[in-house]
Amino acid sequence: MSPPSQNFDLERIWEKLANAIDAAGSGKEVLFLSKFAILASKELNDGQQVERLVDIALEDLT
Amino acid sequence: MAIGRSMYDDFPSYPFRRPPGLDGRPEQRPVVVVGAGPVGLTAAIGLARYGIPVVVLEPRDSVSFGSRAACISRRSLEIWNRFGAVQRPLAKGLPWTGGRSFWHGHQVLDFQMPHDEDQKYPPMVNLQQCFAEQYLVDALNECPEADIRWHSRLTAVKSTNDCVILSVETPDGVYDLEADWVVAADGARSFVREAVGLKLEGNSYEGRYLIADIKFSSEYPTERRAWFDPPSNPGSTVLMHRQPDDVWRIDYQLRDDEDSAIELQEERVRARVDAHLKMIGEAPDYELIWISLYKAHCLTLPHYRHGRILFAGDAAHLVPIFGVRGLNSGIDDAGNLVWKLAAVIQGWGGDGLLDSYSHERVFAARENIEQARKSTLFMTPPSRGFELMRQAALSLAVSNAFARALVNPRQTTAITFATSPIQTTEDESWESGPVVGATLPTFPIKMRRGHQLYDGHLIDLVGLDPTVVVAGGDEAVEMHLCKVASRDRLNVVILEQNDRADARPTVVVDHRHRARDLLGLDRPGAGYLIRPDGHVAARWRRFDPTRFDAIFALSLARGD
Ligand SMILES: Cc1cc2nc3c(=O)[nH]c(=O)nc-3n(C[C@H](O)[C@H](O)[C@H](O)COP(=O)(O)OP(=O)(O)OC[C@H]3O[C@@H](n4cnc5c(N)ncnc54)[C@H](O)[C@@H]3O)c2cc1C
Repeated sequence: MSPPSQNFDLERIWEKLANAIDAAGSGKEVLFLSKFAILASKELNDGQQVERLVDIALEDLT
Repeated sequence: MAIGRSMYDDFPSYPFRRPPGLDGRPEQRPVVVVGAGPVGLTAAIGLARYGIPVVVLEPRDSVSFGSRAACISRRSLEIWNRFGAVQRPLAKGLPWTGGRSFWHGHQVLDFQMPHDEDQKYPPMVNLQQCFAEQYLVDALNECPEADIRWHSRLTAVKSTNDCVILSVETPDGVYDLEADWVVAADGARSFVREAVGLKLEGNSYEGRYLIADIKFSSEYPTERRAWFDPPSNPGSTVLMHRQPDDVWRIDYQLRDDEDSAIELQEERVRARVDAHLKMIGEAPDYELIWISLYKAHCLTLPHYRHGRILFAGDAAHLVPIFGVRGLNSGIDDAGNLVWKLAAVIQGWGGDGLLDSYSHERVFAARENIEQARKSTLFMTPPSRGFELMRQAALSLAVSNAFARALVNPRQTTAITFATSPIQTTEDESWESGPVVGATLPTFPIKMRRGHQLYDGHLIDLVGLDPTVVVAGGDEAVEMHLCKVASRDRLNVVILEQNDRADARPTVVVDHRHRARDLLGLDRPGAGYLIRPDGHVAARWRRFDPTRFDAIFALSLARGD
């Protein structure tokens, strides 16, 4: 993966996502995450990269 | 299924006429078309326009029932126009250019199909299939070359080296008919396909749609509306189209837990329709006319030619209704096949044309199936993953324009053939214009007849013969083309920027100066060779007479 940029704080994003999942509320978490996945993919603007990330996310689900 | 008597019962029924074959007089025909659906009828009219006698076999005694394939594309209108059969469908049909989609009360899409002032026809018209069929039957009945045999069912097919022997069952008994060529347009359950042992390949989706035609008056304009998971029909997708005579067509998806037989009951349909109409703020007394159930299929034969038998329409391929590729692709089959069959029968084209029909239209079916398959994944999500991704796309589309591309219904457009045995590959670079294999665009032109200039459209100049369209101003090019045209079936069109007051009927005036932008014709003598079905066979920026003669021969599959 790419080297961390100066204003990217993974821990902060991790918290933001956790709070957002809570804000989405029960039953809407998956929809929220699905939307986020589409938005983030669009922003990445790199099909190969997105496919690689999808494969990584599928690993070790248990 | 019909609900009581309605306007759809007012189509004429045709009597049985005893054919000579039943009285021991054998018949040999150049072409027999099996099936008087829209595809068989279009093929028959086209063949009749070439002066070819054609027999159509049809077990029914009238046109089909219900709206069925109700959206007719610009491409289909252009094909009917070429066969002189566009006027009535166009006069009755309701033109439209776009539509809207809704999700949970939000508008998530407002789409427009490609349309501009250069076009002769709207991108789509809505017309119940029974009307389209009736107009085609009427047009065919006016052709002395054509003979529609109602009450006539094909029951056996036997191919020999030089003909096909067809057994036809009638109310008066069975007779045999010999055909040089057979167009198998006998629909989704094609008897011909079964009889020669061919099988459709691909998938069927389990998505089921219920279709209801209802009659009531409303001021709402003609456009395509779609509702995803609407409050009135939770978990379903609902489509609505306006049709002529105040008939509205509602299609709604059945959920997996719903039983088809129960949902087809009139009270059930009424309850669903009532809920839908209430949701959109229409609460009329409506007449329920027709109900039917529809399943999505993505199937095609691998080849459409089987010796002297040529498959077209639903007999050859089944495509989901989304994007209206079913009937429209069948009409495109007919447009592609007719000139090739005519050329082979009349001797101005080689037998390879019929192989090119199969090559091109199987390619088209696969393209159509791929587009329709994508639409189907969205309209009828087959799994939890697709369901979620659809919800995500719809939710994003409420406020994010980029996501609306995922919601767009991908309406049918003309197909570009990537390859074909009868087209060249491009070897020059072009700024614009249709590539080889694409269809000719149109724009308004003026045509000279005698001393007068008339308004017309570029596509009107493509008739039954191959057409060459060149930019005027190069005398040598024009002389060569006119020489070819004097001894062969070639229609020469010379595009001039300004009227040169030349009485030759082939000179047309590009008064809006579109040839450069839309065709890329930026120098005298540059041009296109257009097939009778409107596809580009070749194009050149620098004309070479020897090369032209070669590509002209190639485009007609002339062997030498
Ligand atoms: C209930 C229903 C709803 C539909 N809804 C839609 C829709 O919403 N959108 C869409 O795009 N498409 C829809 N379709 C499909 C559309 O109607 C077809 O794509 C279209 O009719 C195909 O035209 P065709 O001429 O190839 O075949 P068909 O219209 O099926 O015509 C075939 C003809 O062959 C005749 N025939 C059959 N067997 C024989 C035989 N042994 N001998 C002689 N003739 C024979 C039949 O009687 C029929 O007239 C629907 C179809 C049905 C049945």
